[in-house]
This record gives sequence, C-alpha cells and structure tokens, in this order.
Amino acid sequence: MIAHNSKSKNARYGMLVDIDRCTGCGACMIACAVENNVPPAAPTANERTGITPMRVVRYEHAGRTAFVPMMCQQCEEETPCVAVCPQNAVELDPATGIVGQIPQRCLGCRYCMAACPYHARYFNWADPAWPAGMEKALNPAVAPRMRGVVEKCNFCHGRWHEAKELAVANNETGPVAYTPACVEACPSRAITFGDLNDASSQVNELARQQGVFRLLDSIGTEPKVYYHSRRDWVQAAAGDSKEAQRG
Amino acid sequence: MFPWNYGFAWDKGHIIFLGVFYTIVLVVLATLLVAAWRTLRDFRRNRAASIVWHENFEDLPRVERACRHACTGELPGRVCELGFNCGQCETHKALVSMLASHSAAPALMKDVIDDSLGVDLPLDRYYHRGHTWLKPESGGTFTVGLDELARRVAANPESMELPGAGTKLTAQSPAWTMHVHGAEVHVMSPIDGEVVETAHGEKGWFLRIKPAQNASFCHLLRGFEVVRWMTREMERVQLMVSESAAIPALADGGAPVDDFAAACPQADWRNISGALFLEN
Amino acid sequence: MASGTLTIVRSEAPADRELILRGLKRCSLSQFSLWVAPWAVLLVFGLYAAFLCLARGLNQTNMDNRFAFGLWIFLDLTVIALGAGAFFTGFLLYILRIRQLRAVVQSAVVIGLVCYSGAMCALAVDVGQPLRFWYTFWYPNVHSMLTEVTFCITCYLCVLMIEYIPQLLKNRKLRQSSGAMVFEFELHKVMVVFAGVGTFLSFFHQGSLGGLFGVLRGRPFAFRDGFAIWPSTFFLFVLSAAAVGPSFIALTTGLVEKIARKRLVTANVYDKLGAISGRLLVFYILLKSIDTLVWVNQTSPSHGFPAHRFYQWSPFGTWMLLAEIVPFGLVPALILLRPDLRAKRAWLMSAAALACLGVALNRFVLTIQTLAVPTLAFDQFLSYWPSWQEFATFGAVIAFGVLVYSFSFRYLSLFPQEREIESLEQDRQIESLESARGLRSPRSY
Repeated sequence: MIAHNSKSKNARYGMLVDIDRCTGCGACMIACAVENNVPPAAPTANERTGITPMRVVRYEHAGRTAFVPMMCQQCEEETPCVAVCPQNAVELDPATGIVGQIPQRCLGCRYCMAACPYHARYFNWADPAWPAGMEKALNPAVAPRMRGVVEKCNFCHGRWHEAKELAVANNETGPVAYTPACVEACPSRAITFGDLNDASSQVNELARQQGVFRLLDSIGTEPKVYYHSRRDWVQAAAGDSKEAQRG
Repeated sequence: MFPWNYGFAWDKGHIIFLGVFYTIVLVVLATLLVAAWRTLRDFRRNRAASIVWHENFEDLPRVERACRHACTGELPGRVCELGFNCGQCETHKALVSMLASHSAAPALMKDVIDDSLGVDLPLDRYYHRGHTWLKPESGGTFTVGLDELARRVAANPESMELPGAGTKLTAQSPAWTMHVHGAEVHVMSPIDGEVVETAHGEKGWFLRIKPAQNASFCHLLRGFEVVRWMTREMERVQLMVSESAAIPALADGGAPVDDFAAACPQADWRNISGALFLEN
Repeated sequence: MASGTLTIVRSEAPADRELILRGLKRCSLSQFSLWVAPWAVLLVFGLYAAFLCLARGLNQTNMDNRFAFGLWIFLDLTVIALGAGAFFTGFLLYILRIRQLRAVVQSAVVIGLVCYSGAMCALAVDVGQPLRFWYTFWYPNVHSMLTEVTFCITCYLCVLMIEYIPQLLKNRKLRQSSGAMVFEFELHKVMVVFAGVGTFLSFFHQGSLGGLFGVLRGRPFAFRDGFAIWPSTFFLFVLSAAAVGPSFIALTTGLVEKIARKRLVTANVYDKLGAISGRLLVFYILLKSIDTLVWVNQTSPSHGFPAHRFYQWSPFGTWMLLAEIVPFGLVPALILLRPDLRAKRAWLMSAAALACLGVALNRFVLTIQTLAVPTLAFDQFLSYWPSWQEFATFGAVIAFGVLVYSFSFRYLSLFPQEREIESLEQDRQIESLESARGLRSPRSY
C-alpha cells in the first residue's frame, strides 16, 4: 500500500531501491557504519557475525550478477519482530512508520532475529571496542550499543530527530524531511527515501513505476522498502510477489 | 507487569494474560500459607505428635507394620494401616469379641513367665510394639520398662534422658531418649499418661506412669500373642544381624547373650535398634 | 534345629548412613564418590565454558546472525519436552488417579526439577544480557509466545521446587524435626492443588514453545495455521511432550535400576508407563501427519513456498521428515501398544528411547533446520556446528542433573516401592523360617 492522498499527520517513511543502478560499491554500507557508530569487527568476527545494518548482497543467477542492498524492510503489517519481542523492546512508531529497537531494554534473546524473514537484524556478539583515536569519529547523535543486544537499520532515526528538533524550533508541524546516510552516500543514487504518505514525494512516484516489487510479498509483512529492476530474473528472485498496490 | 509500567494497556490481551498470571501466583501462595497455617494449628491443638507418628509409620517397611494378628498367625500377611491404633480397627474388635465369646481372648496372665525363647517373658504385663512393657502396679499406676530383646540390643547405653515427674506422655510418641551405639534412639511411650516417678532400671523399670483418663489399652499386646510376636521379632533381629555381619546367626537352642552388640560387633546395630524401636 | 537354606547378602552400612533412610540399601560412600567425581569434573569444566561466554560474550559460541538459535535452544526444548514427564505423571496420578504411578511420581518430580532448572541455567548463558531477565516480567509483551514461555516456566519451576520440598523434609536427618514432618504432612494434603497448577502451566508452556516457531510468518518452513492465536505446533508440542514424558520416566527408572543394581519398581509400573506413552504417541503421530499434509498442500504454498523447496538442501532432505514420523514416531508407538512387547524390558526401553529421540528430532527440525533453510532467493543454505564452549556448557547442565538426581536418590526415598520390594524379601525369609519351625504353613504372596 503506497499512497494516501491525504496530508496525514503521520509519516510512513519508505525507500525505493533501484537494483539496476546498484554497482555493489558498498559506499552505503560504509556510510551506515559510520553514521550508526558500528564498532570495528572484533577479532572473533566473521562475515556471519559482523554488524551490517545496511548490507549489499550479491545475487548471481545463470552467470549474471545483481547487487541487492538489504536493510530493515520496516514491515508494516503484523511486524514479525514487534510481535515476538518478549520485552516490548521493538516498536513500530505510528508517527513515522519506523520500526525502532530499544537496545537498553533488549535482553538478547534473539527471537526477533529468528522471526525476521529478511535477516535484517544483527546481534552484538562481542563487546564494542574502538582503537585509540577512533572514538573521535563517533557520531554524537547516535548511542553505541552494548554487547549482547540486537540492532538493525532504523532509517537513521538520529537524523530524523535532528530534523524534527529543527522543525519544532521553527514551529513547523507535520512530517519532516531528512536523508539517511546510505541514501546520501550512494554515488549512483540508487536509493530514494521519503514519506510514502506524501503523494507528491519522489519515493511515492518512483514506487509506482513498472517493475517495482517487494521482497517476500507473499508472506504478508507489508514492507516499506520497494525494489525496482527491469530484469525479470531479478524480479523472480523476490519471491511470489503481489503487484504493488496503487493508491 | 503493573498498570504504571510502560507498555501496559487495559486491553483484552493484558487483562487475560496478567490476570491468569496473578491468579496462579495467588493460588500457589495461598496454598502454601494454608499448609503453613494448618501446621501451626496442628501444633496448637496438640495433634503434631500423632501426625508425626502416622507419617513415620507410613514410611516403615511393610515387614515392620505387620498386624498383631499376622504375628499370631490368625490373619497371615495382614499389614496395619492404622498406625497400630488397634482401638480404631474394626477387624481387631471383631476378632477380640469373637475370641471373648469363646473365652479365648488374650489377657494378662499373672505369675506366668514364658521362657520358650531362652529369655524370660513375663506375661503379667502388656507389651508395646516398640518393645516396652507396661506392668500394672498398685495405686492405679503402671511401670514401664524395656523388654528382654530391647535390653539386649540396646545394652549399655552411653547415656539416657528420662522425663521428669509430671511430664505428660502420648502413646506412640517419644517417652525417653537413649544414646546407643553412637546413635540417638527414642523409646516410645506405650500409653497416654503422666510420669509419676523415674528410675534408671535399677528397680527393673524406667518410668512409673499414671495413665490418662481416656487412655486406650487396645493396642497393647498381652497373653499368648506376646510370645508369637516376640518370636517373630527375634527372627527379624537375627536376619538383620546375618545381613549386616554376613555371618549366619541363627538360634541353635542356646540362650541369647546379654549384650548382642558386644557379641557381634560387625553388625549394623544402629539400623537394628532403629528397626526395633520403630524409627525411620 | 531349623533346617533350610537362607541366602545371606552382605551389606555393609555406608559411612554416611546417618543421612540415609533406614531400610534403604545404598552403596558405600567411596563408591558413590567414584560415581560423582566424573560428573563433578564435567560440571566444573562446563561452568568454566559458561564463564567464558558470560565474561567474553557470545562470540565464544559458533552461533551467528543466521543461526541466532543454536545447540542450547535445541537442547533446552528437548530437555523441557522430556521433563514433561513430571507434570504429566502428577496429572495422571493426582487428577486421573492412576495409582500405579505413585511408584515413580517422586522420581519424576526430581527429573522435572533438574530438566527445568538446567534449561533455565542454559538460558541464562544463552541470552546476551542475563541480568535483564526481569525485563520480560516488567515490560511483558503479552502477544509474544516467548513472554508466555518465560512466565509459565518460571511459575512452573517454583511449583516443582514446592513439590520437591516434602521429599527433602523426609530425609532421615531433617525428619527428626517434628515441625518438618507436620509441615510435610499438611503440604502433601494440598498437593493436588500444585499438581493441577503444574498441569495447567505445563500445558501452556509446552504449547507456547511450539507456538514460538509456529507463529513465525517469516519462516514459512515452520509457520503453521491453527486455532485462534495458537498455531498447530502449539498442540503438537503439548501432545508430543505428554506422549514422551512417561517413556522418559520409564527410561530413567530403568537406567537408575541398572546403575544402582536394585529393583525399584514393580513390572506393572513399566507396563503402565509404556501403555500410556504408546497410546498418546500414536495419537500424536496421526495429528502430526495430518498437520504435515496440511502444511505441504496448503499453508506453505499459500505463502509462496512449495514445500519441496525446503528439502532440497542436503543433508536436510525429506528423509528427515519421514524419519521423524516413522522410525522415531510410529514404530515406537506400535511397539508400546503391544502388551507382549512392553513386557520385555529391552523392547520397552528401545521403544522409549526411540520416542525420546523422535521428540529431540522434532525440536531440532524446528530450531536448527528452520534457521538453516533460506527464505530469500539470494540466501544460501548455511550450516552450523557448535563450539566446544557450547558443548561443555550443556555438559554442565547434564552433569548438574545427574548430580542432583544422584544425591536425591541416595539420601531421599524417591521410589516408595523400593522398600516394599526389599521388605517383601525379608518377609518371605521370616515366613520360611516360621514355617520351618511349624508355626504356620507357607503362603505365597
């Protein structure tokens, strides 16, 4: 479900990722790690225990390659991770549509990780440690997480906060516009971000093109991240997808 | 968890879930409290002693709970279910009245001493399953002593703690404590009553008791059944000695020695005295 | 004088006999120490592994972002299913009044206690922030199956401890206090309340453990439709736990009899346990088969995943599904249904073991296999093997269970029939002596 024509007070932030534009450079992954204070990999880490809230996945099929940037899909309908967290440490914010994680409340049971069909959640398998001097590069707007909790992409909620504070200071109401780090960093502008509730937003417009699909639509989680590709073998990889509904 | 916590809402899910949880917690706590309160009540109503006896009785091995009528051969294989409380037993009453109608009911036999087992078993007194005897004396009092088997098993106790005059005793509850073979043994009182005088066995008895008003004598053995029972008990002791000392120890017709433990120190006398005095 | 043979069995009283109930024969203290020693070593080693995980973080394990649940969760689920024998035996005895089970109910309570407390200890190491355990109680998400599991298992562990107390109070030393005996008596009078509460709690947490995976729409391999908020796996878990509980009790009782080298229960108790297990197992297999067919033909395809896709990854082929239903499900069920086979100890034990393994396989499929099979097309099939710390920690759980059970067996009377079986022997010997003396004619019991 994409657009409401109403100027609703609540935003539904979503993304449109153009797979055909993604070169697999990984700049989004770096930007994400920097923005979100992801610690350098512990000595024991491997590619299955590293923390990559944004992760570009290589998909190969019959000798052809595509790169699929994967992040939390911000599921809207019966969000799996929200439903299963025993401590209410995950919530779907109705004002923004962002699925937020409260690291201070997370017990580390990892049930949400089992529930997530997109493998978009990452566990802090080790204590975070920054080499001396590197702490100067930390982003003061984002709290680092402790060992033993789950984290994931939250559409750069810190940046939303900054934009919101500015808007409040200027007595503006309504949803704010901001840009997550990955969107900013992508050299080919493969990712578009915006308010899906805003009928005039670019993301809304792009999401209505031909060749747009969502991942694992058939499961019914109603993710707010849309993917686009004109290559049908890429579209087939999304699973048995329903046609994205038009407003 | 509580209404003032983050995330709480008075919706169906919360009410059902937390409602059930609190109900369970309350039920469990309440049940524990009821059990504790009833325990205190049992003590206040002086029922504790009889409860302890019944609980201990249930845990005794079957062979030690044999009915007195099984020992005599009248009802072979019968096991007591009432804690040797023959006064409550319908079968016992029926048997006794049947025997009484034939003038064959067991009774105290003055001046009769049975010695078929090689020990003196005076039949002018009552015997308790815990191996004490109760002899009627003048003035309505009774003397209490240990029978011959108990005397030999618990010969030369290291120490003894007898109750003072005026102490109230309950049947099947500890009357006095002895330290024998390094273990503490509680000898049971044969009837409800009050201690009038104590002695240390010099006069052949340990306590002089005045029985309580409504004291029951039903459960005490008397007359011919004493011999049968004592035979069985001696057999049990011999079996226990054989088992723990791994030597055959069957009677060969001689008289039992005065101190079993001194004669056969390898046996487990702690367990044997426990078995004799009906302790777990 | 008296002729006739008497078997003399040498039994030296153990050094700690003050603590052992009179009439119970136990091995010597040094033999017991020899038994305890290797388990104690395993426990210490496992505690060290657990300490490493707590001190350095869960990178000490081989779990990762794909295998968020690993050996520990799989074994926790299995152990809790096996420990269901505790609640189910209590239910059958106190509520359905199947009296033969009195012979094993105390042992079942101890087994349940060690299974659940062991699982809780393993969970304490498994979660990333164990000190935050109380958050689940403080901020409960009433819609999450795991919240339900947490509440239920905590309450149930308390109930099990309460059911264990009367057994402790009957220890030879402790029972000397009359307060202890009277409290034990009063507690025993109200035991049916705890049995009922235990049954209720057990039903729900066994079910919710199944529900944990059945509700995961993100894992079409495990997702099931069901009744109201409960997926079919909820009911299948309850049923499988109830079915395998009596088998596990039979298995452990047989094992204890072998290790202690004495008969502890009469043969009809094994028969009863086997019969109950067999009937429930066959019912479970029937329902499981129906559920599998529904999943293959309807649930999975309706979510865009034809079922056969999940079985294309070796080694997790269709053979696993068939193994769970036939050799580890139907076969033991049919064996246990036949009285003539149940009567033979070897058949009974083998069938019980197969049933327990079947339940373990079922839990494995829902944890490890569920996480291994990919959902997204560009996902790979990944494999996982636990690290030594994971094995050692679980070894500690098993050692803890064995030690608690061993001490309980030695110093408490877990099997009320044990003394009866021994005193029957003594009775027979007295009887033969008395008949030799001509006091009465021999009588067979």
